[in-house]
Amino acid sequence: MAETNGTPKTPAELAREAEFLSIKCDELRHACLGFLDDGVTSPDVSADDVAFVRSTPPQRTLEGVFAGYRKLREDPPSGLINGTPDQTMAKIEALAGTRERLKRVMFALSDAVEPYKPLTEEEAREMMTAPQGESIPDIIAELEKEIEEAGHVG
Amino acid sequence: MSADRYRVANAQEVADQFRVALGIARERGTLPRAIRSAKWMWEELARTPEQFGESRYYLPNAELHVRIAFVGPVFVLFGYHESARIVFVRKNRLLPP
Repeated sequence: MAETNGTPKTPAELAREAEFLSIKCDELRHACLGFLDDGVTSPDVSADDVAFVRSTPPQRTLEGVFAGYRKLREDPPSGLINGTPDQTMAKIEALAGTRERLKRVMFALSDAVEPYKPLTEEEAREMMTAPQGESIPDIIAELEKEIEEAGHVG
Repeated sequence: MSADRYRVANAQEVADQFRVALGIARERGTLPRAIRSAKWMWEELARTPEQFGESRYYLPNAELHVRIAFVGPVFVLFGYHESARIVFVRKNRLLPP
Protein backbone atom coordinates (compact mmCIF):
# COMPACT_ATOMS: atom_id res chain seq x y z
CA MET A 1 0.00 0.00 0.00
CA ALA A 2 1.46 3.38 -1.02
CA GLU A 3 1.09 6.62 0.89
CA THR A 4 0.14 10.14 -0.12
CA ASN A 5 0.73 12.83 2.51
CA GLY A 6 1.02 10.11 5.11
CA THR A 7 -2.38 8.61 4.30
CA PRO A 8 -2.21 5.01 3.09
CA LYS A 9 -3.94 4.46 -0.23
CA THR A 10 -5.07 1.17 -1.63
CA PRO A 11 -4.11 0.19 -5.18
CA ALA A 12 -7.72 0.82 -6.23
CA GLU A 13 -7.64 4.33 -4.74
CA LEU A 14 -4.35 5.07 -6.47
CA ALA A 15 -5.72 3.85 -9.78
CA ARG A 16 -8.86 5.96 -9.34
CA GLU A 17 -6.83 9.08 -8.49
CA ALA A 18 -4.54 8.60 -11.50
CA GLU A 19 -7.51 8.14 -13.81
CA PHE A 20 -9.36 11.12 -12.33
CA LEU A 21 -6.34 13.39 -12.78
CA SER A 22 -5.80 12.16 -16.32
CA ILE A 23 -9.41 13.03 -17.19
CA LYS A 24 -9.19 16.36 -15.36
CA CYS A 25 -6.06 17.32 -17.32
CA ASP A 26 -7.91 16.55 -20.55
CA GLU A 27 -10.90 18.63 -19.39
CA LEU A 28 -8.59 21.55 -18.62
CA ARG A 29 -6.58 21.17 -21.81
CA HIS A 30 -9.79 21.22 -23.87
CA ALA A 31 -10.87 24.36 -21.98
CA CYS A 32 -7.50 26.10 -22.57
CA LEU A 33 -7.46 25.09 -26.22
CA GLY A 34 -11.02 26.34 -26.59
CA PHE A 35 -10.06 29.77 -25.23
CA LEU A 36 -6.87 29.95 -27.31
CA ASP A 37 -8.58 28.81 -30.50
CA ASP A 38 -11.20 31.50 -29.94
CA GLY A 39 -8.38 34.07 -29.90
CA VAL A 40 -8.42 34.77 -26.15
CA THR A 41 -5.11 36.09 -24.80
CA SER A 42 -3.89 37.23 -21.41
CA PRO A 43 -0.77 39.01 -20.21
CA ASP A 44 -0.52 36.28 -17.59
CA VAL A 45 -0.25 33.55 -20.21
CA SER A 46 3.22 33.37 -21.74
CA ALA A 47 4.29 31.90 -25.07
CA ASP A 48 5.75 29.03 -23.02
CA ASP A 49 2.34 28.46 -21.43
CA VAL A 50 0.67 28.38 -24.83
CA ALA A 51 3.30 25.96 -26.12
CA PHE A 52 2.75 23.82 -23.02
CA VAL A 53 -1.01 23.70 -23.63
CA ARG A 54 -0.56 22.86 -27.30
CA SER A 55 2.36 20.45 -26.81
CA THR A 56 0.23 17.46 -25.86
CA PRO A 57 -3.15 16.86 -27.48
CA PRO A 58 -5.86 15.71 -25.06
CA GLN A 59 -6.00 11.91 -24.85
CA ARG A 60 -9.80 12.04 -24.96
CA THR A 61 -12.38 13.94 -26.97
CA LEU A 62 -14.65 16.20 -24.93
CA GLU A 63 -17.29 13.50 -25.13
CA GLY A 64 -14.64 11.06 -23.90
CA VAL A 65 -13.92 13.31 -20.91
CA PHE A 66 -17.52 13.16 -19.72
CA ALA A 67 -17.79 9.46 -20.53
CA GLY A 68 -14.61 9.00 -18.47
CA TYR A 69 -16.10 10.77 -15.46
CA ARG A 70 -19.24 8.65 -15.76
CA LYS A 71 -17.23 5.44 -15.95
CA LEU A 72 -15.16 6.46 -12.94
CA ARG A 73 -18.36 7.03 -10.94
CA GLU A 74 -20.15 3.89 -12.05
CA ASP A 75 -17.32 1.43 -12.57
CA PRO A 76 -14.19 2.60 -10.75
CA PRO A 77 -10.98 0.56 -11.12
CA SER A 78 -10.69 -2.23 -8.59
CA GLY A 79 -6.89 -2.27 -8.69
CA LEU A 80 -3.85 -0.84 -10.42
CA ILE A 81 -4.27 -0.75 -14.18
CA ASN A 82 -0.61 -0.47 -15.18
CA GLY A 83 2.62 -0.53 -13.19
CA THR A 84 3.51 -0.72 -9.54
CA PRO A 85 2.16 1.49 -6.75
CA ASP A 86 5.35 3.57 -6.90
CA GLN A 87 4.99 4.06 -10.64
CA THR A 88 1.37 5.05 -10.18
CA MET A 89 2.35 7.51 -7.44
CA ALA A 90 4.91 9.06 -9.78
CA LYS A 91 2.24 9.33 -12.47
CA ILE A 92 -0.14 10.98 -10.01
CA GLU A 93 2.50 13.55 -9.03
CA ALA A 94 3.24 14.36 -12.67
CA LEU A 95 -0.46 14.68 -13.50
CA ALA A 96 -1.06 16.87 -10.44
CA GLY A 97 1.70 19.22 -11.63
CA THR A 98 0.21 19.35 -15.12
CA ARG A 99 -3.22 20.04 -13.67
CA GLU A 100 -1.92 22.99 -11.62
CA ARG A 101 -0.25 24.59 -14.63
CA LEU A 102 -3.27 24.07 -16.89
CA LYS A 103 -5.52 25.44 -14.15
CA ARG A 104 -3.43 28.60 -13.86
CA VAL A 105 -3.61 29.12 -17.64
CA MET A 106 -7.36 28.41 -17.68
CA PHE A 107 -8.00 30.94 -14.88
CA ALA A 108 -5.94 33.61 -16.65
CA LEU A 109 -7.76 33.08 -19.96
CA SER A 110 -11.11 32.92 -18.21
CA ASP A 111 -10.38 36.17 -16.36
CA ALA A 112 -9.59 37.81 -19.69
CA VAL A 113 -13.16 37.25 -20.88
CA GLU A 114 -14.99 37.31 -17.55
CA PRO A 115 -13.04 39.49 -15.08
CA TYR A 116 -12.53 37.82 -11.72
CA LYS A 117 -14.86 39.45 -9.22
CA PRO A 118 -15.70 37.22 -6.28
CA LEU A 119 -19.25 37.28 -5.00
CA THR A 120 -19.78 38.91 -1.65
CA GLU A 121 -21.57 36.91 1.03
CA GLU A 122 -24.58 39.20 0.52
CA GLU A 123 -24.63 38.59 -3.25
CA ALA A 124 -24.36 34.87 -2.61
CA ARG A 125 -27.35 34.97 -0.26
CA GLU A 126 -29.37 36.89 -2.86
CA MET A 127 -28.48 34.31 -5.50
CA MET A 128 -29.43 31.45 -3.20
CA THR A 129 -32.83 32.92 -2.38
CA ALA A 130 -33.75 34.12 -5.88
CA PRO A 131 -36.88 32.56 -7.40
CA GLN A 132 -36.21 29.68 -9.76
CA GLY A 133 -36.18 30.78 -13.37
CA GLU A 134 -36.92 28.80 -16.50
CA SER A 135 -35.04 25.50 -16.33
CA ILE A 136 -31.97 25.22 -18.54
CA PRO A 137 -32.59 21.52 -19.34
CA ASP A 138 -36.10 22.52 -20.50
CA ILE A 139 -34.62 25.15 -22.82
CA ILE A 140 -32.15 22.58 -24.14
CA ALA A 141 -34.94 20.05 -24.74
CA GLU A 142 -37.02 22.68 -26.56
CA LEU A 143 -34.12 23.57 -28.88
CA GLU A 144 -33.21 19.93 -29.49
CA LYS A 145 -36.80 19.29 -30.57
CA GLU A 146 -36.65 22.34 -32.84
CA ILE A 147 -33.41 21.09 -34.44
CA GLU A 148 -34.83 17.61 -34.86
CA GLU A 149 -37.98 18.94 -36.51
CA ALA A 150 -35.94 21.20 -38.80
CA GLY A 151 -33.88 18.13 -39.73
CA HIS A 152 -37.01 16.21 -40.66
CA VAL A 153 -38.28 19.12 -42.78
CA GLY A 154 -34.92 19.79 -44.39
CA MET B 1 -34.31 13.27 -8.11
CA SER B 2 -31.88 10.58 -6.97
CA ALA B 3 -30.42 11.11 -3.49
CA ASP B 4 -26.91 11.35 -4.84
CA ARG B 5 -27.76 14.15 -7.21
CA TYR B 6 -27.78 17.90 -6.70
CA ARG B 7 -30.68 20.15 -7.65
CA VAL B 8 -29.44 22.73 -10.15
CA ALA B 9 -31.08 26.11 -9.64
CA ASN B 10 -30.90 29.24 -11.74
CA ALA B 11 -32.59 32.61 -11.68
CA GLN B 12 -34.55 33.82 -14.72
CA GLU B 13 -31.65 36.16 -15.53
CA VAL B 14 -29.44 33.09 -16.10
CA ALA B 15 -32.07 31.45 -18.31
CA ASP B 16 -32.26 34.68 -20.30
CA GLN B 17 -28.46 34.73 -20.67
CA PHE B 18 -28.62 31.16 -21.89
CA ARG B 19 -31.26 31.93 -24.53
CA VAL B 20 -29.20 34.90 -25.76
CA ALA B 21 -26.08 32.69 -25.90
CA LEU B 22 -27.87 30.02 -27.90
CA GLY B 23 -29.26 32.66 -30.24
CA ILE B 24 -25.68 33.75 -30.93
CA ALA B 25 -24.66 30.11 -31.44
CA ARG B 26 -27.50 29.69 -33.92
CA GLU B 27 -26.27 32.73 -35.90
CA ARG B 28 -22.75 31.29 -35.92
CA GLY B 29 -23.97 27.88 -37.00
CA THR B 30 -22.68 26.29 -33.78
CA LEU B 31 -26.00 25.63 -32.05
CA PRO B 32 -25.69 21.81 -31.96
CA ARG B 33 -22.20 22.06 -30.40
CA ALA B 34 -23.36 24.61 -27.82
CA ILE B 35 -26.36 22.45 -26.89
CA ARG B 36 -24.19 19.35 -26.56
CA SER B 37 -21.72 21.18 -24.31
CA ALA B 38 -24.51 22.60 -22.17
CA LYS B 39 -26.08 19.15 -21.77
CA TRP B 40 -22.79 17.66 -20.56
CA MET B 41 -22.32 20.59 -18.23
CA TRP B 42 -25.74 20.31 -16.63
CA GLU B 43 -25.28 16.59 -16.16
CA GLU B 44 -21.96 17.13 -14.37
CA LEU B 45 -23.42 19.98 -12.29
CA ALA B 46 -26.14 17.64 -11.06
CA ARG B 47 -23.80 14.71 -10.47
CA THR B 48 -20.45 15.99 -9.25
CA PRO B 49 -20.27 19.78 -8.93
CA GLU B 50 -17.45 19.34 -6.41
CA GLN B 51 -15.28 17.88 -9.18
CA PHE B 52 -16.51 19.60 -12.30
CA GLY B 53 -14.47 22.61 -13.45
CA GLU B 54 -12.12 24.22 -10.95
CA SER B 55 -12.55 25.85 -7.56
CA ARG B 56 -12.18 29.62 -7.35
CA TYR B 57 -13.13 30.44 -3.77
CA TYR B 58 -15.28 29.51 -0.79
CA LEU B 59 -17.79 31.73 1.00
CA PRO B 60 -17.89 30.42 4.59
CA ASN B 61 -21.02 32.19 5.79
CA ALA B 62 -23.06 31.09 2.78
CA GLU B 63 -21.25 27.70 2.83
CA LEU B 64 -20.87 28.07 -0.91
CA HIS B 65 -18.04 26.62 -2.98
CA VAL B 66 -17.70 28.74 -6.12
CA ARG B 67 -16.27 27.17 -9.27
CA ILE B 68 -15.93 27.87 -12.97
CA ALA B 69 -15.98 25.54 -15.94
CA PHE B 70 -15.58 26.01 -19.65
CA VAL B 71 -16.74 23.43 -22.15
CA GLY B 72 -16.29 25.16 -25.47
CA PRO B 73 -18.12 27.31 -26.28
CA VAL B 74 -20.06 27.49 -23.00
CA PHE B 75 -18.65 29.12 -19.85
CA VAL B 76 -20.36 28.70 -16.49
CA LEU B 77 -19.84 30.20 -13.02
CA PHE B 78 -21.59 28.27 -10.27
CA GLY B 79 -21.66 27.64 -6.56
CA TYR B 80 -22.65 24.50 -4.73
CA HIS B 81 -23.93 24.02 -1.21
CA GLU B 82 -22.85 20.58 -0.14
CA SER B 83 -25.23 19.84 2.73
CA ALA B 84 -28.28 21.30 0.93
CA ARG B 85 -27.30 19.42 -2.26
CA ILE B 86 -28.03 22.45 -4.43
CA VAL B 87 -26.04 24.00 -7.25
CA PHE B 88 -26.67 27.67 -8.02
CA VAL B 89 -25.72 28.76 -11.51
CA ARG B 90 -24.62 32.38 -11.32
CA LYS B 91 -23.69 33.04 -14.91
CA ASN B 92 -23.39 31.30 -18.21
CA ARG B 93 -22.27 32.68 -21.50
CA LEU B 94 -20.99 31.76 -24.89
CA LEU B 95 -17.41 32.36 -25.97
CA PRO B 96 -15.92 34.06 -27.84
CA PRO B 97 -17.74 37.22 -26.78
